Amino acid sequence: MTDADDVVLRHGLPATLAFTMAFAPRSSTRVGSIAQSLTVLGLSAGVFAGDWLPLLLACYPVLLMVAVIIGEWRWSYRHREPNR
Amino acid sequence: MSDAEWLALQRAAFLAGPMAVAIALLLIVRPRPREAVAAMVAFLWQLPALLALHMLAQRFGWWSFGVERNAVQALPIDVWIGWAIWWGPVAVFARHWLPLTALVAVSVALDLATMPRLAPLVSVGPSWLVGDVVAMLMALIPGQIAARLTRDDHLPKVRAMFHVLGWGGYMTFVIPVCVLSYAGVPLSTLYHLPVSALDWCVAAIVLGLLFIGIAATAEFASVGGGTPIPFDPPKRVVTSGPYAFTANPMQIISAFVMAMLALYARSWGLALIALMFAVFDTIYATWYNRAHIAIAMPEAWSSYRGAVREWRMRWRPHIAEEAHVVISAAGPARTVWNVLWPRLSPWLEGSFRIDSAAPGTLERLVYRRPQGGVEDRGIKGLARILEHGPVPLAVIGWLMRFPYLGGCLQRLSGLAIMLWRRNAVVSGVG
Repeated sequence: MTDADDVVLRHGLPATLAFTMAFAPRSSTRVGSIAQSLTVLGLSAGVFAGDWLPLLLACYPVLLMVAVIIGEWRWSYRHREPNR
Repeated sequence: MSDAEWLALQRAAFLAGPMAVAIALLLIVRPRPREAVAAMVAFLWQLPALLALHMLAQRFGWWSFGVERNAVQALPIDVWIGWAIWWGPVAVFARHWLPLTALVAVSVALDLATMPRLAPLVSVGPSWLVGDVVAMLMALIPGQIAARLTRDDHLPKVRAMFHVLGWGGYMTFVIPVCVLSYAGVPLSTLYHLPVSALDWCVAAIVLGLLFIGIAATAEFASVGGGTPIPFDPPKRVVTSGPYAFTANPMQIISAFVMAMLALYARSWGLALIALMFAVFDTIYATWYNRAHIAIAMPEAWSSYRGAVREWRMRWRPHIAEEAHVVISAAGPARTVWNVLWPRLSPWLEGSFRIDSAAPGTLERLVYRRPQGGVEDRGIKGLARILEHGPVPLAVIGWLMRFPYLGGCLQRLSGLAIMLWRRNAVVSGVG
């Protein structure tokens, strides 16, 4: 019982945010949609991050960067396909 | 139940309770996009406001929290977030049924009923009611006003003032305090008066950068009718003010201010945050602009971005549109203009159409660029003309149009003109 606050803060909060984000309306853009999925994954990882949770939060822009790279790469890949 | 167990339950309830209520209200209210943004604005306002309130409460002995773990400067993180949700999204959604006055009354009544009974989590001091009034004035009420203005897309200049305070609060207060607390470093490593030449240089650079950041935010509001928040954007591509020199002044400044603060505090944690700001600004924000603004306003965006780049500062501004200046036909403003314009004009970029005001009109100087949404009068109009010049002249212009300072300068110029006319009458009589 003495850990109830710790459980809610470190596990409950990221899990609730991940759940809400997972069922939120999808972004209209490809990169936005990928960013949303990666955010859900990141928050799910945050549930188990323990003391590393603040660091994970600080590095959130890296996750957005990955979303842009994947989204833009898929976009350019698909646009190249007809020329093959 | 032991004290430790009761404390843990209280803390858990202070986070889980507001979260559950917010989710329930979200499902009941089903907010429109602008109302959801308003709820977010209210939440974002609460975090710096509540941390500042906590610092004041510690200083004046209003109340204290009996916690050791998961806290930032003895403010329990769960209570902090829960409180921000309670006075942020929950309060915003509750305003479907309650006006602001009733909401404040309910909040005060709840505080009166619960605060003294919240031991062991909270210990109130003898003057805690003063703290409660301060809490309403600096956290709940301004947050709700900012949210309502955002929801109604109303008074962009006032909204911009909230964003300036909020942005400054995060940049210089919330983020550094959280990072230094996480690293276990005393806050005095950052919050101290400069002691060396390097410290003085860094402090001066930070102040200069914050000044440009505020000027850029004010430009978003006055010209674009929006804010720097992506979900509450301006209604046009803003190409004036600092945006005539670089395409992303706010982002550059955020990253550089954080880097300067890292240098000032000698903190690797803040350096990491500065790096993350740069990553976000370089990649995600650039993509966001391309994916949203470029699609919403393609022609304006492409012509602007063809001339003004991100992360690069132009020495001279990019001003595509002809500026229309109307100057009074006679009087002190005309006299100053006749002296100043021949000396100033060789330094200015862009083209001008200069007309004399019709006789009998009271306007001394009007500056217009209709396509860019720019129209300023008097001292602010003069500032706009200076902004056609290279960076140093433009900085003087931003200073002259700076919120509140511009108004003071306008009144001073009015006073100077009054003295001028009086002297002219006296010398005429003589």
